[in-house]
Order: sequence, then C-alpha cells, then structure tokens
Amino acid sequence: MHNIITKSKDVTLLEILDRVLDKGVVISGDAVISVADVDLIYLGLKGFAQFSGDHGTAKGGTNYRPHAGASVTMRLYTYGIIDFSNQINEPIYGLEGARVYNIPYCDIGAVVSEFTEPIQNMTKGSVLAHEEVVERLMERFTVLPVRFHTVLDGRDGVVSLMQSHYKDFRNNLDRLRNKVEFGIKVIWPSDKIKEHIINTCKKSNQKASIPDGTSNKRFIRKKFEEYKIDEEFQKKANKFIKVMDIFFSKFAAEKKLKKLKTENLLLDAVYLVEKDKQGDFKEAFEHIKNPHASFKFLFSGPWPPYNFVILPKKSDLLKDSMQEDLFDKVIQQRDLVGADKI
Amino acid sequence: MTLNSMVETDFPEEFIEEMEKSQDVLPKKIDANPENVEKGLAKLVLTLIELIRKLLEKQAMRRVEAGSLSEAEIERVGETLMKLENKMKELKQIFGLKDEELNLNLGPLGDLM
Repeated sequence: MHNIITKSKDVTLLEILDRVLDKGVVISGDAVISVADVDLIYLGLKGFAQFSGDHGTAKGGTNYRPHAGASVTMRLYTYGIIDFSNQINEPIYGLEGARVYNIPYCDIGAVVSEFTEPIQNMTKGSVLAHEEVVERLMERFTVLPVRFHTVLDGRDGVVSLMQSHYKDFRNNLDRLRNKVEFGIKVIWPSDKIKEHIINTCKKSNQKASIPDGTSNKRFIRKKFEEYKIDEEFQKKANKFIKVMDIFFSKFAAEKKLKKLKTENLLLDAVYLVEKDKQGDFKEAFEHIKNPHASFKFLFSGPWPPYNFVILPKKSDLLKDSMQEDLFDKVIQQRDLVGADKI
Repeated sequence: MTLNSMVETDFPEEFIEEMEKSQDVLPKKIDANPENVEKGLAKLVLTLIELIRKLLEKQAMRRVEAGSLSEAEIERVGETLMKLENKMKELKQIFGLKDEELNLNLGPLGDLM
C-alpha cells in the first residue's frame, strides 16, 4: 500500500562503507599514529611489504614513499579471494579503470588489478568501484571480499598471502558457498518506550521503600529509579529483538546481532542467508515490518559476506613467525613445570 | 555503476543519523602532542575509574532492590556515590572530556561500556 522503496544514495554509501572499511579479509589494522603532527607510523594499507623484501615497512601516506621510482614490483589492488583458479573471461574493470585478473594459488585465486596511484584518501567513486567488482565476482564465484584499499606488493606478495592463509581462506570459502549477507536495522521510538515505562513504574512502584529525607537518600532514590527504568528498557529491547530474530533465523545460516548501539537503534543485525532462501528471508522481513508500525526498518542486501569472513586473530598480525616462537616458549615452560613435578 | 545490493528504507535520514552516532569511538588517527598527551592519559585513567564507579553503582542498586541495606547504610552509600559522581564531573571538566569519550573499543568484544 504505502510501501515506498526509497533508494537513497547516501544510506547506500554508508551501508557499503560499513562493510568495506573494516570487514572481510582484513590483512592488518589501520591507524596513523602521529606525534606532534608528524605521521610516524603508518599501519595498514601497505600490504605485505615484508614478504617481497626490503621495500621499507612504513610507506607513509602521500608524502613519504621510499624508492617510489625505483620500485620494480607492480602494486596490486586486491578485491577478493575466490574459489576459482583460472582466468576470468568476462571483462571486469576496477579502480582506475584497470581490468581485473585472477592470480591463482592451488584451487583458489586472488582477484587484483594494477594500481599506480600513491596511497591517498578514499573517494566515493573508488569505494563504489571496489564494491562493484566484488558484486560482479559474487555472481559467478564464492568470494571472500578483501577490505577496501588493500594494496599488495606484486604477484609474489599476493601469492605469499594466499600461501600463508590458504587453509583459512579455503575454510571460509567452503562455509560461505552459495550464501549472501543481508543487513537489517531497526529504530524504535525509545522516547515513547521510556515514557511508557516511567508511567507504569509510577503507578506500580509505590513500594520503592527508600525513605525520604536527607539528600543522600534522595540521591539513592533517584539513582534507583533510573536503574529500574533502564532495566525495563533493556528487557523490552531483548523481547522485541527475540521476536524478530526468531523469524529471521528460520532462513539464516549464521547471524550477528547488535543490541541498542544507540538508544534509538534497537537492532543492527546481519544475517548470512543461502542464495535459494533469499525470497523467504525477504518475506519474513515484510511480515515483521507490517505489524510494527511505530518502528522504522532498513533492509539491505544481498551483500557479499563481509561480516562473515572469519580469520583467526593471528592473521591480522604480520609477524606470524614471532607468535609461533612465543607459543613454543609457553609449551616449553609448561613442559618444564611438568618435569619439576615428577 | 551497477550494484545488485540495495538498501530499502522509508526513513533514510534517521538511519544515517543513528549510524553516525554509533560510529567507532576509536579514532582513525591517534594523535599525541605536547598539548594533549596529558588529556590522552587522563582519558584512559578516567575511563577505568568510570567503569568501576558504574559497577559500584549498579551493585548498590541491586542491594537496594533486594532490600538488604539498612537505612544507615543507604545513607552512607548515597553519600559516597554522590561524592564520587561529583568528583568525576569535576575531573571530566578539568580535562575537557565528555561522557561518550570515556569508553574503549575492545574490537570484536564491542565497547567497554
């Protein structure tokens, strides 16, 4: 009836940014640590510089690029890991209009395109180009989307990434085959809900047995009322989320729910749905949406499974070997303790 | 540009607003310089104190709810919590910190508070 589908560009961009910026295959964290206005350490975006030798580990933002001219290796912008190790025949164009191609390793491949620009601020266009490539790939393959602006050093860098994470990538590809991600956000009228709670509290809560009197007691009473209201508020939120989640979970393989990110944003959820259950899932959404007139809903998808790529924490860190050393030490120490006991 | 994924909502503005509000507390750029290095430290310390203060308060409320505090105890607890809250307000003001700044992003575990 009044089911207006609004395709607002900005909401779409935000939904995309929410996914591409720090989800999917994240190779390293991303933060600039600066001391007194001088960017000292630039983490992330540099890919696996140390794999390909000594190109310097801290390629600074735009103004500091060691050996920029002398560098022989091509920098490769990486879009996703796919379960396919042959050439991609159909032409797909990515950032800078460069044609994307597949770098195989065993039975998987990394989809890349050549990238010449120095690391610079992201633009809306490049975010959309990234997302478009991943979505095109999703039509034919299972894709692990790689985080936006992951640039690796040459073919060797890409291959060694796949080499060192082959098992993780393989597991994720198997798990995510034929599945897509949907996002659901729900805003509830938190003011009205609170008002309602306060009114019912006032009616029933004559027994709040804190005697009036000193300011200290009044303080406790005020705090206690706030505490009760918040408790009710949380209970109500849980109840509503449970009702909705039961519906959606019927058609979902996995899910991630976030409750009350802000007072108004009751639910921020992503569901992993099998491709042939997409219709059912959408229908479930419409069913939930209609009877909850005072709630506001946002439905998005089908997305590549950004939120469901699970890599062990270790792969975030670049120094795998160092970690293993540490681990060895722990084991050795434990052995020693055991020996002492005997 | 042709994207298959789409976003459907009757209320785009409201969702944009809430999404912006819920953005990460972790700054993309960690900035330390002589003027604000003190503030950064104060932020970390006050965050931890604030966490403990909130825990204490919650525990006190549970005791009140259970009715296991005598009137004298309520009096003392009230005084303590009130003083603690005022002191925190003072400190926040001195270092120019807002309530929502006193938080830590614990990565996959979400926010501290």
